[in-house]
Amino acid sequence: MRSSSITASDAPKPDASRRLAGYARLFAATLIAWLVGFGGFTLVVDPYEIAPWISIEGVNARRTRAHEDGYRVHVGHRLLTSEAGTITLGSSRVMDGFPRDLPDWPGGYENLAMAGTSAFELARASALAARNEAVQCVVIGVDLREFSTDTNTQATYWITPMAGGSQVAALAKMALSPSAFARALQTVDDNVSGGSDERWEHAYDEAGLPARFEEELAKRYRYYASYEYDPERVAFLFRGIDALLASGKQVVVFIHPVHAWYEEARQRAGAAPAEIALRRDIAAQLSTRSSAAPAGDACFDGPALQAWDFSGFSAPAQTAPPAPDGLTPNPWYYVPSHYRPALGHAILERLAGRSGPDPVGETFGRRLSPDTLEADLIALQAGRRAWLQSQTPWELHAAQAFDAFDANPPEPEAGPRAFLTRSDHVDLERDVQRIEDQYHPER
Amino acid sequence: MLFNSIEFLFVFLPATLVIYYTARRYAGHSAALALLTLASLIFYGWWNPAYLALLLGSIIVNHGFGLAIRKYGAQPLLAIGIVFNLALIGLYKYADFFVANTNAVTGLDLPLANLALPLAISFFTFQQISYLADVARNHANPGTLVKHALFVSFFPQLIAGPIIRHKEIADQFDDAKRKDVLSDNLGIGFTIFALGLAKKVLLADNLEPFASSGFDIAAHGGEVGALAAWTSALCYAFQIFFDFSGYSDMALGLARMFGFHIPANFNAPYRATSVVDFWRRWHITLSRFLRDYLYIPLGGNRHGEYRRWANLFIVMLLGGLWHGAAWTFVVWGGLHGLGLAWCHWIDSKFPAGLFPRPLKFLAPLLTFAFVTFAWIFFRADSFAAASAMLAGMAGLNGLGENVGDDPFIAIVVSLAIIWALPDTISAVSRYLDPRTLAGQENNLQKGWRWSASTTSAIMIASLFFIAIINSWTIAEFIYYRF
Repeated sequence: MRSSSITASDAPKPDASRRLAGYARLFAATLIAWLVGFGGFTLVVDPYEIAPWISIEGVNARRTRAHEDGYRVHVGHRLLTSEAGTITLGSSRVMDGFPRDLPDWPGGYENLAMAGTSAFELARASALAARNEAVQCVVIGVDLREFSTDTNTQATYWITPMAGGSQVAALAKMALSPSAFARALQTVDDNVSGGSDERWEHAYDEAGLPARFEEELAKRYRYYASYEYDPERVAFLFRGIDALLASGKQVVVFIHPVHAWYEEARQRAGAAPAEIALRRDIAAQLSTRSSAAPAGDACFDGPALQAWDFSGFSAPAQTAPPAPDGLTPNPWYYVPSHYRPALGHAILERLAGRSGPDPVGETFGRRLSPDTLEADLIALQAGRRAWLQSQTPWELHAAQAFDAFDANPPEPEAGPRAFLTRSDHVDLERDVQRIEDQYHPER
Repeated sequence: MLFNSIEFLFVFLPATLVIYYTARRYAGHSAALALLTLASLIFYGWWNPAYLALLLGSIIVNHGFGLAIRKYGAQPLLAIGIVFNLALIGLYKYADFFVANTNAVTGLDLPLANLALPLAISFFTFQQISYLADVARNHANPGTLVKHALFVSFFPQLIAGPIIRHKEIADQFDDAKRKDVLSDNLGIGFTIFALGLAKKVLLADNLEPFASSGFDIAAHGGEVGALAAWTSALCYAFQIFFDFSGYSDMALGLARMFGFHIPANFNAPYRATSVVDFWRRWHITLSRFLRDYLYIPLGGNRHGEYRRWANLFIVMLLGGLWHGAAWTFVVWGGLHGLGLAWCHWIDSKFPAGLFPRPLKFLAPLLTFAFVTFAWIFFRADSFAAASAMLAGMAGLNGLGENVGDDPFIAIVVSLAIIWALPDTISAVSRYLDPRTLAGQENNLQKGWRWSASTTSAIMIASLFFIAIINSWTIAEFIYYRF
């Protein structure tokens, strides 16, 4: 009956067994030493300031690297633990362009944006935030960049709770992560040497902004010359948003107000069809969710899901670039791609139907819906025409630069293209369905 | 739960090991097997508890068939049992494929069932068929329900194999007097597991972006340049090897941690000198299953050369279809069927081999080239995407976008590992039994051999640690979707 039983001759000989016993012990000891030493160090230093249990002066009292890796490790945990009623999600445009905190905001406010994010991460962040009972309203800033075929995630996404699993598991993954370990070493070094995250702290030093403003003309032209729009990502993001809606939260998706120079770079580099497609796709997603139940505790007037378009050649977008001497900064923008928190605050106030401390006018921002889509697209084109006819020195300067690029195109900024995978869809679907089943078991 | 997830590595596996060995020592062999079965069912239910009912149903029904076959004889119960299993996989895996093709041919608009594919159904279906066949052939006893459940659901091999025949493991489950040498089981088991995990996370997962790049562009209707097409095709060939053989190594190591010996699934397939040789080294347990339960019953090579070629072709077509309900998989299987028939014909005409001695090195190169070409159909989402990839490889779209240096570095490193280092079972062969070596004893590669030394303990444990801290991207194993 038996074909090839394990026999005594198959087992390691006694001498080999003795050696294996020593081997197994040393193997276990080495592994445990690595895990405890590496993981323990990272956990104690806690470079992303996730659970600051231990704060030692001269070692980790200053978490100088919390904003590294796009802040997503910190944000991943805050999505679950934040007690703010309103949170903002988005890329560095939101991270830098919205206040970090608004003490007077009803219900509390927290900026949970992540630099270099994508529709993929925003969808996962939405599904995660849906689990946070305290959050009532989620404001998500997007533009073409989030829906490109660029990479879906940054490396540290995988050690955040957004990647799935429990918060404890995410904490363990963070502790056992090479990038977190490197940040822990940097944190200790900064604390010992008095150093800091120079890149973060001096990102927007006023003296350097005129040059950076100028550099962006070519930079954005190069990026959008090879830009590829992936409509699948719009559907993916809104599937993540479904989790927020199912849990009774209000969601506002808005398109960023970038500077006119940036807008024009997109137009000149051939991204205009993608701009139109994005708005049409967002409107289509809204259309399929028009019957969504009202939000439990709405922060803004209007339905549970709404979209706004702050892009185009608005008054803030047309403001003059900073003077080369650095003495006259642009009031709304650091650089064409990144606005200042004053404009982010103005967006929030506009959504709330109020006039904030830095009013930008009634014409700033348009509701985007299936009903207003065509008017929005017309407004975009009209705004551009008006800007091109304005003949301001900075309009002429930009036009001249783009004419030169058209005549002698710079090398497009092409990277490897990435697409959503079957596994990405399966994972998101599982998480969203779990939320939907939790809040609407009758469905 | 993936083998490279934190839940598995730090909770499930240690807890299961502790429970199993504690139970074996204090509560007896049967209790330990029952707890191991329970752990395996938890492992399976972790993804989607709903499918646990399907797995349990399959176990109970097949066990009933096994008992009935033993009591009343093989026919017609064996046939009914096999039909039951094929119907189950047919419903979940092939119903929509059949309906869609019927609609396409007839112009009908029959509705699709849109049933989600239960994890591992392709694998446990084959194991159930093997169980019924082995019981019917008197190669194994039906055993108890718990042992049958463990045979099907044993978590190291449940999701993506190796496909174990009942007779290969039933006697190990029955052996209540087996003495566990914990250090042997854990020392050898963790070493093989570490090598498998390293293959998966340090090699396969890093090849994935380069492999996907060209295929994804093709899938989205884009033109693929020669650089992207060739780097994607080659990187995919390496990715699927490191991914699947890494998984199989992990399965082997995990089983060994519990004292069980299961057959190896890979033995340096990209060193194969022919397509026939390739299938003796790649997914060995599937090849054996198809040979024993399909090729031989079809007549094998007993009715002349033409019939043999036809049988090979049919077996590989079905083998292709087993991987996925799509015509691209059928074409992939068909290509391998043609390759097998061609190699048998060559063997019959040139018994000393096609190439003279100085040119023998061409045999593995050509085999690798053929296998890589066939992978295009395996990986592509559609024939249009496969055609786009092939057009790119043929240079019809020019060189295309610059893909950078990284894919080329990845290819060189992969080639160096595959052709210069022995595969896992060769490296650890000193500590493997004949059952695990699965007939590959005379086909091992020369080179580095693992031994239980102080240096290797530190080195392998460190490699394991490096693999663990690089595991968090949670890239699914390619064969999980089959």
